[in-house]
Amino acid sequence: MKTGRCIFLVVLLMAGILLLPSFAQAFWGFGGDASRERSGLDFDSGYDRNTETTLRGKVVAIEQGEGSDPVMIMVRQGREEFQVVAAPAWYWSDGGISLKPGDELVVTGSKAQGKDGKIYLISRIISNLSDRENVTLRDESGKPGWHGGTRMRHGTAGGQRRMGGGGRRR
Amino acid sequence: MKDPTSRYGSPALWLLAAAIFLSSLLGWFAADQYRNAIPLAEENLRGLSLSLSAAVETLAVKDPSLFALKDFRTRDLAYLALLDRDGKILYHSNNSLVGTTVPDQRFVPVFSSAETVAGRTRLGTGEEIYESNSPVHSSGQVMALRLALHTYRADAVIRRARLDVFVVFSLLTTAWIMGVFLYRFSLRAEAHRQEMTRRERLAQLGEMGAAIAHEIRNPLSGIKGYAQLLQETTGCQDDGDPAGLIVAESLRLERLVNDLLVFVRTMPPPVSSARIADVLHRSLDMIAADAEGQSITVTADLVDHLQVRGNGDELQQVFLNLFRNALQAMPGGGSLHVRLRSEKGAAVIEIRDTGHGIPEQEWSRVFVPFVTTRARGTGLGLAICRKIVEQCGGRIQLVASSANGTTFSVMLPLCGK
Repeated sequence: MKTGRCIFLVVLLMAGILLLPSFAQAFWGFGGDASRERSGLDFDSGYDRNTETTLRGKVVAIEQGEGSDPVMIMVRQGREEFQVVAAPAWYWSDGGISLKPGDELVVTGSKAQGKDGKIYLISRIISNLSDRENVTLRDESGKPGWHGGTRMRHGTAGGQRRMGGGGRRR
Repeated sequence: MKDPTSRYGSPALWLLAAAIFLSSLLGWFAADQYRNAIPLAEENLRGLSLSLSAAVETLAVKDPSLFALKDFRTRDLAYLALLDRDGKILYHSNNSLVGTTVPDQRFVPVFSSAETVAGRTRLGTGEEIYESNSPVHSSGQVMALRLALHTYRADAVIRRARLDVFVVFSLLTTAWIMGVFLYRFSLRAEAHRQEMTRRERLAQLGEMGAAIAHEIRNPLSGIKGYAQLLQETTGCQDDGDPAGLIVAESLRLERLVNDLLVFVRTMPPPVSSARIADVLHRSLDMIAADAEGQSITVTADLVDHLQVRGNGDELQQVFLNLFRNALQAMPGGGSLHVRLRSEKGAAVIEIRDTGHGIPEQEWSRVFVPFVTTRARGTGLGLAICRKIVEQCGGRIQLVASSANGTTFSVMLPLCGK
């Protein structure tokens, strides 16, 4: 009976190890729950000018992150949907433009397809055509304002003005 | 005692081997599918890049200004660029990069050896893409076409294979856990079946034994009485004379009948308790004279305060049987050691002698009634011990036996446990 118990414990141990969240993620490639982990993309400082493009569409939903989580804006263009990655929540709350579902947006940014199959646009400039506001989050090379790049700039139909932001605060 | 090899006999071993073989086969199959999926995805991407290169070349030939490429879009294309031999960008899907120079040298083999260079690389966004650099001819000019393709759709085969591996391993793990459960269940069922068979056999034996014992008891008393009368009449008290032999054999038969009656008697679960050290002391006192006569040293190491569930007289019979067996195993002298200790809510009594031991082939049958290795034994002593101990909720077992001695262990639950 002792041998049977040993086999039983070994099998249970193996099953437990294989299903441990960290091990499962490494072994099977699942287990993370944040979109950043699911997509496999670098939303914080990642940018590639090769894939820079401009798209126009309507805001479907806005996901306000917390702390260093990025603010995500779901934009629909025709039948396609894009996940627009704006800026870390703390940076966006300092002076990001106001957005609401239904607003017409023009976004310039680096396009990437995540491991989850979704199309992401890591934004450089976001223009809200409905409120005639725009915000620049990265400089032309793609360096983000929260990492010492161009500071967050707001623009209106009458021109652009500087807003807060700058280096990383936290 | 059960022979440990019988449980893991050849059918169980064969079954285990077959299960391991099948598990390995399924695991290997799943892993092989996964391994083959990677080159398959690469082939898909290679095929796609060749098709797109051909399309771009056609457009470039038709329109050497490359203006026609402006509307060239496909779902899997991350970006495309046409480079001259210095790495200067002649066309790019991001128009603002035209005229700049690429920072890498991956396009160089296109011009040096006219070959296509392809492989996976990572973009600044963190996305893994498939990049091919291939030669394109337009208006007598050779250019390097750089195509960057999203890998998500091509990698579907890899994700599918990974899912298959996960499913196969999950099923295998579940099957093994269930198998172990079933195995344990079958072992318990088998033990239960054997116990039921044993009890049934004992019940039949008991009925028969009780009937015989009652029939023998009365005539035996008469035979013994007349033999004793004959001894007194002849005045010969020697066991060697015929009347003495009849008395001795009658007494032996009487013991057998008494043992048989004890063995077949239905005993209710004990309601009383006994101080086990006192029981052991009394039992040791009763064999002290015989032990001294046989030059056997008796030692005891007894914890004093343990109170066990059971009838003191019946428990005394258990230890007397065990001690007498030990003495009989040491005709030329030796030592008998008794140890009493408390362990996990039970009193554990260990009886160790330095006798001739029990042959290994008999270990599994020592508690079976009417099985004895002695010429004049009844074979009921240890069977009675087992019955009384189990009636008290305890366990008796032969721990070890060799030519240097035998050790029995009796475990009795403590009161209130």
